[in-house]
Order: sequence, then structure tokens, then C-alpha cells
Amino acid sequence: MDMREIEQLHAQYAQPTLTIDVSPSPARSSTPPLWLGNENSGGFGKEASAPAGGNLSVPPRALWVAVFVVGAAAMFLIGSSMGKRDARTHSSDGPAAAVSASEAGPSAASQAEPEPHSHEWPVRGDANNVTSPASGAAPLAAAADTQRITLPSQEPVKSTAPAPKPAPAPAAPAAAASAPAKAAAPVAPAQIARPVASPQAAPNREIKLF
Amino acid sequence: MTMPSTPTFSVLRAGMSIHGDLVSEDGFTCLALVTGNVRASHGLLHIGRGGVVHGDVEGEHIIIDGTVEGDVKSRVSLKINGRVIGRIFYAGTIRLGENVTLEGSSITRVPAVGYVPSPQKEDAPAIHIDDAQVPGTAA
Repeated sequence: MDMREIEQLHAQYAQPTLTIDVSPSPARSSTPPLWLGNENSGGFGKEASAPAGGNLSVPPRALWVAVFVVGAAAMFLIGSSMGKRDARTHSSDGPAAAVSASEAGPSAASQAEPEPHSHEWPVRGDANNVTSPASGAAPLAAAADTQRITLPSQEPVKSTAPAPKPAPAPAAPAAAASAPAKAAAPVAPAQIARPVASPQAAPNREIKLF
Repeated sequence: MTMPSTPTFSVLRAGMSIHGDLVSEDGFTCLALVTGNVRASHGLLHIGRGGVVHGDVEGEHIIIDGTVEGDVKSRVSLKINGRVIGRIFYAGTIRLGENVTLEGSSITRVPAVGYVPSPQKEDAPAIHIDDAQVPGTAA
């Protein structure tokens, strides 16, 4: 090996080498990487992933704050809704409880019993009053609704109809008695016309008018 | 007379014998007998044919065509086409030539320059080549 070959050999290795530092720099080591790939990546990979890591170093705090705020808001809403619900239940049950508490007597308790059934229509108390045959006049609203209510209203009509029937029986002697009276007394033309409109026909006419 | 295009290097010609350590900033070629450690900071450390070093050899680029009885530590590249009796550490690439002779040598790849592996790691992954001539190259 002569000097020329030695010179060429040294010239070949004299060029500065390209050095890639794979050790993490202290500036980037302060922010811990969020993924494992950042540690194993080389210099170029670190350069490429460094901005993403820098951007992601701040969001986790904001993310946690946002999560906390959202959780607090959700808890507040849930608590407020539960409070409203409790307030409604207390307001609906409160007056009845207050009445039952204030009125200690059993009569007051019996009066307070229909309250839970107030949503029924007709009210039980009114229905009992309507169905009772003793009461001749039914309430207008109850009469228009059910057959039980209309049935007693028809009974007085039937009962009233046979009432005039016994009248003709005694009417025979009465007519006999009145016949001489009619014959004796002169009949006025106005009075003759009036019997045409009998007292039974007048109410019929009135019903037809209605 | 210095030429800017030519690299700076030194040559220890055959027939010389040096007792002691050699430290060079640039590369050099050793064709002499050196009893001591040889170190080159930059460039090529070349142990030419006929050159003998009784000591450790450390450099950036190392080419061994002669005989080294000691440890060899290469920071970038190592090419062995001679005889090495000792441990071999390299941090870049290693090439074994046709005339390589490794006696009781262990070849260990180290991750960085100046890295001193522990004895446990040193033995475990090392490739032991005892009294065998390995032709060809390896990287």
C-alpha cells in the first residue's frame, strides 16, 4: 500500500459524519409525551411530532376544567329538578294534610275523604243524591248525562198521569151534579170556547213549542 | 505545504517502534510497532498491514489490516481484515474482511460513543468467535 492509496483512504473517511442525536432534549422532556411512540421515534420523528405534543400539553388541563364544569352543571340541574319535584309533591299533599291535621274531629275526616275522589265525575255524593227517588228534581247536568238520572224524572210524570184518573170516578156524580147546574145556568159563548182548550192540551202545546 | 483538498493525517512507517500511548486529533496510519494505547479523535485510524499495536485502539473510523492485541472501540465504523486479540465494541457499522482473525474476541454493539457496558450485558448479547476465521462482511 503506497502513500497514494493511504491518502485516498483518509480522504474517504475525512468527510464529516452526519450525526443524529436520538437523546431527548431537556426542553421537550419537560412536557411528558402523551403516547409511547414519541419516545422511540428518532430525531426527525420527534421534530414532526413535537408540535402536536406541544399543542396537546395544554388541552388536558382545559379538558379537565371543562369536564369539571360540565359535571357541576349537570349535578346542579339534577339537584334543582329533584328539588322542584319535591316541592310539587309537598304542595299537592300539603293542604290536605294540613286540613286533616287542623280538623281533628272524625266528621272533618269524613268530609275530607271525598277529596281524593274529586277527579271522578259525577262526584259520588252528587250521584247518590241524583239516584235517590225521593228528590223529584234532578240537577240539570246529571239529568242530561245518564239514564239513572233521567229515570226518576220520568217516574213523576207517570205518577202524575194516573192521578187525574181517579178524578173521573168521582166526576160522574160531579158531572151529574153539574149537569143540572149547567142546564140551569146560561152558558156564555166565551166560556164555551174555553173548554176547547182543555187544561191538558195547554201543557201539551207548550211542550210542542219547546 | 498543505493542500486544502487533501485530508490531514499522519503515517507511522514500518520499522518504527513506539512505547507509549498515541493520541491524534486527526487520522493516522500505523505501519509500525506500538506498545500502548492508540486513539484518534477524528478521521480514520488505520492499522496497516504489518502494523502491530499492543494496547487498546479507539477511533471514529477504524480499519484494521494488521494486528491488535487489545480492545477495539469504534464510534462510527469498523472494518477488520486482520487479526484482533481482544474485545470489540462498535457503535455504528462493522465489516469483517476475508483475512479477519479474531482470537478470544467478543463483538458488542454499543448504543453511543463512550458507552461502557456493564459486564452482564457485555457477556449476554455478545457474539463469541473463538479461533475462527469469518469471511465476508456483517453489518
